[in-house]
Amino acid sequence: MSDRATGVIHETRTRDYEGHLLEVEDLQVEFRTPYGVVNAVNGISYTLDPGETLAILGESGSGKSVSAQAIMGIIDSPPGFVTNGSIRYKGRDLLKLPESEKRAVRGREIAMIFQDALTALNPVFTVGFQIGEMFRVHRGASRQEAKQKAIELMDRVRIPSAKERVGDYPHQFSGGMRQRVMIAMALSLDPDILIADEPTTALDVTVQAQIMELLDDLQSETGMGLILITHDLGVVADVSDRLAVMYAGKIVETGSVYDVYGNPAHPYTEGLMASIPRINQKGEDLSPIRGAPPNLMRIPPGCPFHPRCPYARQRCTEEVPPLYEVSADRRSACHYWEEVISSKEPQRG
Amino acid sequence: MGRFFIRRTLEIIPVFFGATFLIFAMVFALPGDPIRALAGEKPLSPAVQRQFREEYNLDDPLPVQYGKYIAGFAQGDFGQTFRGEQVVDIMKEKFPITARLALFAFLFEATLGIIAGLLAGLRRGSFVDNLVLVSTITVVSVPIFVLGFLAQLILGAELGWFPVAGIQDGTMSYLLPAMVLGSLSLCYVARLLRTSLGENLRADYVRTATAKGLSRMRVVGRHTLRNSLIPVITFLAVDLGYLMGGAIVTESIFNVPGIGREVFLAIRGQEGPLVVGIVTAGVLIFMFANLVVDLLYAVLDPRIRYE
Amino acid sequence: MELPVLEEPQQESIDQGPTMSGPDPAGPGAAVTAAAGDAPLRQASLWGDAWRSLRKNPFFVVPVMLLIVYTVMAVAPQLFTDGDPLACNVRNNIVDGQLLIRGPTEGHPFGFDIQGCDYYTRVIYGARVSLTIGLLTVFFSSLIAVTLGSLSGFYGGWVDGLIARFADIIFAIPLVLGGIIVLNTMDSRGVPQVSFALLLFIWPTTMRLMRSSVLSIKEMDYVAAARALGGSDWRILRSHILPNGMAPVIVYSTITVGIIIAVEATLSFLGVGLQLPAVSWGLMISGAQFRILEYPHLLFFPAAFLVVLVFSFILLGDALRDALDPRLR
Repeated sequence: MSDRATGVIHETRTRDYEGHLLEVEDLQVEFRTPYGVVNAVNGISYTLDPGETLAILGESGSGKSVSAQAIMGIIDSPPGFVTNGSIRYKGRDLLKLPESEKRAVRGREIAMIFQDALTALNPVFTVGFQIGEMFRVHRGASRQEAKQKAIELMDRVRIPSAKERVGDYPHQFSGGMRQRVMIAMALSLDPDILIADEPTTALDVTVQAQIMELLDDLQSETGMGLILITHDLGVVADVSDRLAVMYAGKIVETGSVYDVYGNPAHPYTEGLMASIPRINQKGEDLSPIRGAPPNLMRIPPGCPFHPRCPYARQRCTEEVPPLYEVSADRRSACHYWEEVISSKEPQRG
Repeated sequence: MGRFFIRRTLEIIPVFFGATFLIFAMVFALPGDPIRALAGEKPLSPAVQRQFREEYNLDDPLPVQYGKYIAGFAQGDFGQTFRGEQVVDIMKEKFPITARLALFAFLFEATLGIIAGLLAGLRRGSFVDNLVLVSTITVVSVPIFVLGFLAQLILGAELGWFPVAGIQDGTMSYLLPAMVLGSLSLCYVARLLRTSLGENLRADYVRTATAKGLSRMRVVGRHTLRNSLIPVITFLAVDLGYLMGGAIVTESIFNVPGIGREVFLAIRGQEGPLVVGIVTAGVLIFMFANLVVDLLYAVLDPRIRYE
Repeated sequence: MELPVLEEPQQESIDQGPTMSGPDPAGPGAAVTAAAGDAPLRQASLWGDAWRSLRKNPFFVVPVMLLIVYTVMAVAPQLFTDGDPLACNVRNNIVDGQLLIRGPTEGHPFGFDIQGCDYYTRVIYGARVSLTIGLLTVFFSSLIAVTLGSLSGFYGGWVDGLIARFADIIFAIPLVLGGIIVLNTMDSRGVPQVSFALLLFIWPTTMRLMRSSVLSIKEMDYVAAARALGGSDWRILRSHILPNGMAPVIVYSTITVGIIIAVEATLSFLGVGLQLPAVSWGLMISGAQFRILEYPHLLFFPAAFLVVLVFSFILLGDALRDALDPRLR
């Protein structure tokens, strides 16, 4: 789908910056709670280009959402603090921008949709107001224009009879329709980047597919970059170009979806793959990853995955693995990635 | 919306009858003979006593007495005091005074309460927040009559800013009792707003509003404040009905000849019909305030409107 | 294609940054242990967590210490004064042949009252009735409220309708007004009578609290599990619903003790509460009410003791609420 996206629309977007559309570098985020410091994100780096879909995969507590919130600048502080790193959007470090400029980026250039549209939409305003507000505030549109725009957008995200429903409240929509409202709102100002934080987790499976298809189509139309945060491997496989797997606040493996799925280069990814039920695996046992995710206040020394890793050795408990280059666009944070990648059958945990 | 309103109205009818019957029973059925109390030291002749008993239906069983009373009440006949005054006349004279007092108290608690709640809620953990927290708990801990005396002593007698008691100085003389009457609710308003602001500021939709690139001003003013004020407004509406109960103590201390002082004197003097009349009207006001609250809720929160 | 091992927990997790922003200590702690399952740092028990945060909280420690002092004052006033609160002599108020009401002097730190009683002794002895009425009333009203609230929430249906309507009716009558009406019919009013009159009118709020907390717990999976395992109603109520539903009731009851003490003083002040010769702060202020502008000490000392006692209960309740239910902050 990125082919389609990069094809036509891209040339209409002017490119007046060096490097990637978005470059996250060595980002670190911590939460200072009365119980101790929670190291939510521990030095992650990734890039995003126009028209590209980057999937960030990880279980809850892996830091995937927090890193996205850091990009939007909506981490509650206190207790959350970005302690290190940079987030360069079109060459400008968002972390160093004054609040007013950050605000100009939010919504207009980088937009975000959230997991639960019911709580993410304001219950006391109509959806038309909430979508139209983008035009009212950022574009100075009149009430009437804003409403008109809202209807257009609702049409665009395929909400049936948009005209009649523009005055309805969020709770009057179904889960899938609400998420469409969120998407309409996020896309209203034609942002360059859309961050979708678990956009389908709260939805039924059939609706999930519709929403992902919609996002995919919209991306093709607009050529925006999409960061898809999810814990659902299925969602990732269908729509993403590249994949970053996060564990304990770190990226443990990146690469194209095809490569990573085909042959994981990190034991954690391998474990994830082994735990998916497959039709052709009938009769075989599923292999869950043993153990539990680490406590983010006490991340194990060395490789954070070592207590759960079937490949782990002495070295893993002492030396933090860097992101080894597996191939041109592929990295793995495992000292023994070669061993992992050459193992045909995933190791049973 | 209309159905909702009708349902709520129907729901409060049994409560109204229940509450007024309870009051009626407490006043007329509990020990203590009103006729004797009326007579005081001077014994009444049996003939006069009989006449009284008949007039007030005191020989009927209680439910019948109550039924006759409510029937009269519905026609605007609140009965007579044992001294022969029309209860409705007394109420006409006293109610406006209390209404004025309650209105001032209401304005006082709403304005200051909302300001204090905003200051505290928007700056959690700040000096102002702690100041509001500690001072509201302190004021809540001071019983109204103590607060009244303190106000009289300090603001009235010492500083001479306000008249100490009575209502002969017009509006000015209502201010001090109104502040005392409204003080307790002021604290509730402030704390309620602080709490609900705190909850709403953490809500997902506030994060969404920030992510939309709205200014802090708009995020708070437009997306947080409205939701946060819902419980405050509903509290204030109920409170308007409750201020009457509070007026008993305040009016007694400040010598304000309103309905609160009147009902207290009536209870002390065992003036049954007057007590029942005033309290029934009070319950009616309270119910009405509650109904208004439900409607307000429905207007302010669309989630309830369409249930 | 959902991963079994990667199932997102429904509760707040570390991944959702903003949910951690609660200023409360228990919230983030609980969220973190939920997200990071291995070897939780502490056992996440409600009361255990509450206790750990409470013992370091000055808003808990200070009122508890004050309440201990008050309790000792109520149980053994002799420890504070060797005077007799009923030993009064108007001659104490005569200074240079003039009859006054003497303020604080040497040996009599709070001065004298109108009858020439030592005010310090009377104020100390006043703690007993206030504390007794406060605790007695709240204990019995909570007993009623918890019983009715559990029945109402647990069984629903007509039981619920009946109890809820009855509570609505009581709720429509202001506490002070109801108290005055009931007490006015009694010729002799001691501690039991005043307690009784007040508890008649205060149970509905606690009942509603209990009812709603039972309603929400009833929906929990562990209750469904207990039911599926064949647990009897009584067993489920006793071992699941009561222990989990009591927290809000305990918080509210603590605050109510303070409110009841204030209301008792108010009623005694109005002349419909306790009667002389009972030693009560409300009565003391009542007896002094026409002399307060001339002799402020008559108001100040009993009022200060009263206010500090009420303050302690309310502060304690507040601290408990913060510790037990961070969402209520």
